[in-house]
Amino acid sequence: MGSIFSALNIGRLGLLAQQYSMHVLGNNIANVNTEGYTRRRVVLSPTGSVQLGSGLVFGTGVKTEDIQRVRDTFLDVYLRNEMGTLGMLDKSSAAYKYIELIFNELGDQGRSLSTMMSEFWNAWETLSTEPENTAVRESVISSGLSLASTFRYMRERLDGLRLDLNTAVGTTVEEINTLAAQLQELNVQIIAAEDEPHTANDLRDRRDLLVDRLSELAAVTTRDFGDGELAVFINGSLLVSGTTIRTLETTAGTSGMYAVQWADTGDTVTPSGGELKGLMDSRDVNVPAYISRVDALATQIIKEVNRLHSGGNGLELYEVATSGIAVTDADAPLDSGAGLPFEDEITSGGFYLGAYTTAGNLLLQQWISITPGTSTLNTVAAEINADFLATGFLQAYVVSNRLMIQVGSGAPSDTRFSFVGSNGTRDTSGFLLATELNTFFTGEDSETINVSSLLQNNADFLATASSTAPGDNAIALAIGNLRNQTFEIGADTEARSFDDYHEVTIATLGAESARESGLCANQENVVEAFKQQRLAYSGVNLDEELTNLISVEHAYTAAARYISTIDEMLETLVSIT
Amino acid sequence: MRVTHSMLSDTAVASLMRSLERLQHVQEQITTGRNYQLPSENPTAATQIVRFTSKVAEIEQYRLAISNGIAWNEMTSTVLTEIEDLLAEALDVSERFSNSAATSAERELAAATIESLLEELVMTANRSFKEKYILGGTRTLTAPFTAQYDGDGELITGVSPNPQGLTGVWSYRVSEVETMRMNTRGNEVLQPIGQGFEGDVFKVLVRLREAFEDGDFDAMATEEGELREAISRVVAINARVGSRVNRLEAMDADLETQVLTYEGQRSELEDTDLAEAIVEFNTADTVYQAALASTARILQLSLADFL
Repeated sequence: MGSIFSALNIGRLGLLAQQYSMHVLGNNIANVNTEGYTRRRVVLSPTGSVQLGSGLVFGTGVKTEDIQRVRDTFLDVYLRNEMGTLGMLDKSSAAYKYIELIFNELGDQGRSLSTMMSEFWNAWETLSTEPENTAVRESVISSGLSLASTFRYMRERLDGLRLDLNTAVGTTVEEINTLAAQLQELNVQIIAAEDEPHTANDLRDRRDLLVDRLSELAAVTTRDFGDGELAVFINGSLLVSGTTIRTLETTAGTSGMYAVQWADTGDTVTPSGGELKGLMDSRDVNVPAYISRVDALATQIIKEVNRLHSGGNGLELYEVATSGIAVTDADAPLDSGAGLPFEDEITSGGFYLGAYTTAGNLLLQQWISITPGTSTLNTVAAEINADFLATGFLQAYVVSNRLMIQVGSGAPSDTRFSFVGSNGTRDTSGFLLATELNTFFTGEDSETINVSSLLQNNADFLATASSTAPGDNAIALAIGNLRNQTFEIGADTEARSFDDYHEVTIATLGAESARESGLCANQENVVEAFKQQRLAYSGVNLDEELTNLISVEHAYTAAARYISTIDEMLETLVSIT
Repeated sequence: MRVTHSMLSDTAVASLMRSLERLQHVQEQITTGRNYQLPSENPTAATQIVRFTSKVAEIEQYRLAISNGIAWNEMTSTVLTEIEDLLAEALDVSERFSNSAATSAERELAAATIESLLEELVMTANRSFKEKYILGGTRTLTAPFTAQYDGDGELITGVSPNPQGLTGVWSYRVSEVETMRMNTRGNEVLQPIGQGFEGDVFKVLVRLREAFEDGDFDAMATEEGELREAISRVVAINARVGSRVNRLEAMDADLETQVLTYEGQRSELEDTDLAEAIVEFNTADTVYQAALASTARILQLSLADFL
C-alpha cells in the first residue's frame, strides 16, 4: 500500500474528475437548444496502478480521458444524402406551384386562358348571328384583346419565374462559395487545434452544421481523412479539402441565364441534387416546357384565325392597306430569307385582289400568284401594278420593306379593294397570313400576340364575309368554328383542338406538380426520420443530464468526505507523535 | 429509443403544423366554395372541370344562336303569313268581280284594291328585323325590292329586286357539328325564276290590276291561276320556316339537357359539399385542439420539478 499522501491524491483526482464531469454536464444543459450541438460525454478511466513490495496492486485514482462528442457519422452520411434530394424536390415543387398559380385554371376563373379562349370563340359566334352590328364587332375586338393580353401576361409571368429562378441560382452559388470558405477555414483551425486523441468538439459541431447546409444546397459528398481534415465534393469534383478551396462562378449562358462552372478549370458544374439542381432543372427544363406549350398554342391560334380572316371582307373595303410585318430584304424569296416568322406557311398558290365600288360591286379582279423560291415582296408589288396598269384602279409600293396597296390616284373616288375573290376564293398561298395583310392578330407567339391596330381603330374592317354583302357571315362562322377543329399544335404529333391541347397542358402540369410535391412530402418524412434518429443519438435529454447531475454530485460529496476522512487519519497520526 | 428534448419539441411543432395545415385546407374549401385550388390537388378532376366549364360556355353560345334564330324565323314566318294573307285577299277580290255580273264600277274598285294590296305587298316584303331586311339575302342592309311607277308616279308597273342579288344564304352554328340556314330568300318567295312558273308575283298583281282596268276576263282567269300557285308556294315556304323553328326549339331543349348534365358533373367535382366540409372541419379542429393540449402537457414536464 502506498503512503497516506497518495491516498489523499486519489481523493484529489476524484474531486477533479467529478468537477470536470459537472462542467461538461453544465455545458450540455446550457446547449440543450443550440442547433447542431452534439452532446458531450466525459470518458473517465482509472489512472495507472502501482505494485507494492507486498505484490499487491493498488489503483491510483481516476483521470478524465477525453470529452467526446456522441455522434454517429454514418447517420450523417445518410441524412445528408436525403437532405440533398429534399433540397432539390423542395425547389422544383415550389416552381411547379408557381406555374400552376400562373395558369390560374381553378382559381378565380376570370383571367384563365381557357376562359379567355372560350369567350373569344363565343364572341365570333355571336358576331356570326349579327355581322352588321358594330357593337358586336367591338366585342369581338375586345375579347381578342383580352385573349392576347392573357397570353402576354402568362408569358411575362413565366419568363419572370425563370428570371427569379436564375437569380436564386446566383445566390445559391454565392452561398455555396461562402460556406466552402468557412469550411476551409474550420478545417485549418481544427487541424491546428486538435492534439490526438482530443478533438476540437465545438469547431467540429460548427463544421458539421456547415456540411449539412451544403448538402441541402448541392448534394455534396464528404471524405474524412481522420486527422481533422474533411474534404467536400460536388458530384465527384473537389470543393474543399484541408487547405485548398475551389470556387464556383456564374457566367452569362444562353438567353441571359447563368451557367455555373468551376472558377479554376471552367468546367461546367452539374450538381446531382440539392437546391441548386432543383433550381436549375426548373429554370432550364420545367418552366421552359410550359412556356413552349403556351407559345405553341398562341402561334396556332394566330395562324388559324389569320388564315381565315385574311380571306374575308368587313363591312368596309380597303382604300389603303399596309402589311403588318416588314421583310428584311424585299428582294429575297418570301418563303426563305425575307425574315418572315411564318415563312413556312407560304406555298404555291395565290390570291384575288379585287377592285370594288364602295357599294360592293366588282370592278376588276386579278389573280396574284405566289411561287415559293421566286416571289419576293418586290415581284408581288410589280405583279399588282402590271395587272392594274390598264385600269389604274390599284397601285402597289414597297415602303420601308412593307407592301402598301392603295387605290390608284386616277381611279374613281368610290374605288375600294378586297383580298377575296368575287366567288369567295381565299388566299391559297399563305402570303397574306405571312405578311399580315388583312389579319386579325399581329405577332407570332405568346410574347408578341396582339390585335391588329387597324381593327382596334375601326371594327368595320373585321372580316366576317366571303363576299361584299354585309349579311354574309361565312368567315365569322368559320372562325367561331375553329374551336371544333383539330391541329397538330407545336411539337404534338396528334391533332387536337385548342381546348384539348390546353387541357393536356393543365393535366400534365397538375400531374407533374402533384408528383413533385408528393415526392417532396415523402422526402420530408424521410429527412425528418433521420433527423429524429440523429437527435435521439446526439441530442441532449435534460432528465438524463439532471440524473447524471445527482450522481456526479453524490460522487463529489463522497470524494470530499474521503479527503476529510484521510485528513482525520493524518491528524490522528500527527497527534500521536 | 432515446428521446431528447429537441426531438420532443420538433415533433410537437411538426404535428401541430400538420393539424393546422389540414384545418387550413378545409377552411379554404369552405370559404372559396371550391374543392380544389390548384390542378395538382387532383389533376384528373382539374382537367374535367376546365373541360366542363368551357363546354357549358360553348353550348350556351349555341343556345344563344338558336334563340336568335328562332326569333328571326318567327319574324320571317309572320312576314310570310302576311304575304299569304295579302295574296289571298287579292285572289278573293278577283274571284268576286271577275265575272260578267260585276259592274264596271265594281271592276274599277277591284283594280284599286289590288293596287293598294300590291303597295302593301312591297312594304311587307321590305320588312326588317333588328335592322336587317328579312328577305334581303346576305344584302341585309339594302331594301330587297324597289317599286317602279308609271309616268304619273301613281301606279306600280313592276318591282325590281336589289341589283346586287337576293340569293345570299346565311347560317348559324347551332351545335358543335351543325350549321343551319336561317334566312329565307326574297326571290324564292316572290320572284322565282325558271321553275315552270312565270314567276314574278308583283308582276302577276300588276297584270291582274290591268285586266280589271281593261275588263279582260280571260286574263283575269289566267292571273287567278298564277296567284293560286303563288299562294301555295308561299304557304310551302312558310311551312318550311315553321318546321325550322320547331327543329331549333327541339335542339334547344336538347342542348339545355346537355348543359344541365355538364353543369352537374362540374359542380360535383368542383363545388365544395358544405355538409361534408364542415364535418371535416370539426374533425380537424378537434384533432388540432387535442394536439395542442397534449403538446402543452408534455413540454411542461421536467425532472427538475421533482428534485
